[in-house]
Amino acid sequence: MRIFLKAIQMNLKMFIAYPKGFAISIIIFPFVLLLNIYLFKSIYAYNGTSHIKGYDLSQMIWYYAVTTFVWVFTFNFADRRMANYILSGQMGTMLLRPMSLFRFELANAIALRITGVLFEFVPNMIVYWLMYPPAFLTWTSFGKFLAIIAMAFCLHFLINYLIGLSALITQNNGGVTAVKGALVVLLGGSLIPLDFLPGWLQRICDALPFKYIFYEPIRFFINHPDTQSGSAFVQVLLIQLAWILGLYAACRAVWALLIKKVVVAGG
Amino acid sequence: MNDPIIEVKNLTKTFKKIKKKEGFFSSLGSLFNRESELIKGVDDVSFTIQRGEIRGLIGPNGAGKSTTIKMMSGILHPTDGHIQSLGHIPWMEREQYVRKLGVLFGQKSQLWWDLPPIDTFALNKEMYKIPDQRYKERLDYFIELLEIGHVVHQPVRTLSLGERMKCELVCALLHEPPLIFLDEPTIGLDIVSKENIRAFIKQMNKEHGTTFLITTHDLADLENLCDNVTIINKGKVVFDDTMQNLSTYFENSKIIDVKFASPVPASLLEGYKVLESQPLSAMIEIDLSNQTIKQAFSDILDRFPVIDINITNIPIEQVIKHLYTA
Repeated sequence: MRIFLKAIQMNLKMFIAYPKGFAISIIIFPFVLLLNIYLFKSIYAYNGTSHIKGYDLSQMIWYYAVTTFVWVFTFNFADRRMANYILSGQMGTMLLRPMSLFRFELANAIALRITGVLFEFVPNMIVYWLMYPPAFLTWTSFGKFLAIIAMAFCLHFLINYLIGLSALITQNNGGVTAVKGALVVLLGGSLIPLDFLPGWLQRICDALPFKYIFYEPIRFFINHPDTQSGSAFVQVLLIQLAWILGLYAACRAVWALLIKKVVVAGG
Repeated sequence: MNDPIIEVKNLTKTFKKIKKKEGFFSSLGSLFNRESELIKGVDDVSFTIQRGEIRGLIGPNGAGKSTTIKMMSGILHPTDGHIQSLGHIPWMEREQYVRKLGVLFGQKSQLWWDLPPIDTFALNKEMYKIPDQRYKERLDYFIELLEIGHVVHQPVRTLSLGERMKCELVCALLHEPPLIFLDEPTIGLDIVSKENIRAFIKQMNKEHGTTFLITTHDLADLENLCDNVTIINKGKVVFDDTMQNLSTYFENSKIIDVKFASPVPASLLEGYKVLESQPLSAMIEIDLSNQTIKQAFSDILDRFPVIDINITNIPIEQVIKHLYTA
């Protein structure tokens, strides 16, 4: 446990070591929100409706704001980091640590996200709140969001870790990473709400884990009517849990299979 | 003394190498039809290291030194063979094993690039579960010994190579491992830094009985540090004995340095194996397999106007060059 605390502390320090990049992101995001506000105001005005696909104006604007929050809460580089370890031969150093690579990467990802939540989510949330107050938000809905997003983080990490492991065979997993990126954006619901997709595509999304990283957490945050019942909440949590267990088992199996074939180059 | 800390037996590692052909189109072709060959990086290597020893592991580039060390530290799984180290099979019980092991790869860094070394040390403290008091003592001890008090609080990226290498050493030694692998610890360092690091290794070995396995291309490292040396060439062990025996490897050959009172014409030296000659001096290698040293000496003394004579063994570089190219 203390190792996690230490890792968090070190990531905080790294974050603070390069403050300019962080300052830029703080300034940029409110502009994106501003664009969305004007975009959706005109769309809703043009259609002359108060709801589109069950989203009212403020929920629609916040849908996109929350997309960036989901990134802040779940983003991690495990896939790219592991490919780098393989390509640079740094894998050797990793394997010399008295700690499994999985735990090391997890500690790092958690640490990175805690830093992100403190330095990106909190200030942006305050700024967004002032710009366009989220009338739909209640303590319960926010609490549910936190539970769902924590699971989404695990899910996102496991997917990335599994893709990272693929680098043990392919050496360079840039292609797989790009495909995953596209799937997350299109079928996860971070580009447009999944409700706008045709029915058959929605069925496919239901069978994939990506919507449980983006779409569901976002809907819980904006307190969409479908998410207000307790059973909906439990159902999403259980599906997430099933995905997490399945992916974790896959990670363990792939690791056991591939570790014998690791080639640590250089030195 | 027979208290082996590591036993390596018939260790073999085969790599699959893909043959890359020249030219863009053949590169494209190789996407579909790859030719590969199996290469034995390490081939039937066996040796034993005793507790408290400083062992040199040398060999030309690509001989298989690092691969051997990687298998000994549990990073790579061997294709064949066996290693027993500190009572573990390195690649089977990796996490427990590396807890008792310190490893430094001179060409890789385990320090966090953006942060001061002290942060990496603190992380290692947690990973290796070093008690607070012990950690402080060890750290103070190392800081004083290696004179790095002023650098441990600067970001690693701003450190010089020598300073960084000292910090890497601290990383490898902080958790008091009884066994340490140093893969080219003096690479790229200046003479003073090299000496500092050698003195440090010696002191750790003497005071704590730490066992070291060192790979290096610097013969001074070998001569100053190692009791025994294992030489690997093309994946095979070609020499495994004491430093003493390495320096007398060619026991049937000696080098004689003679100075002459008056210039000696080159024609007179014909029939000798002359390594270097000037009008007033010569360096001759003599073969003692069919003559005694007395005979060889008196022959030279009789034939030339000698005013000074020195006899030495074949220099160690010569021996190593011979073993590398064999």
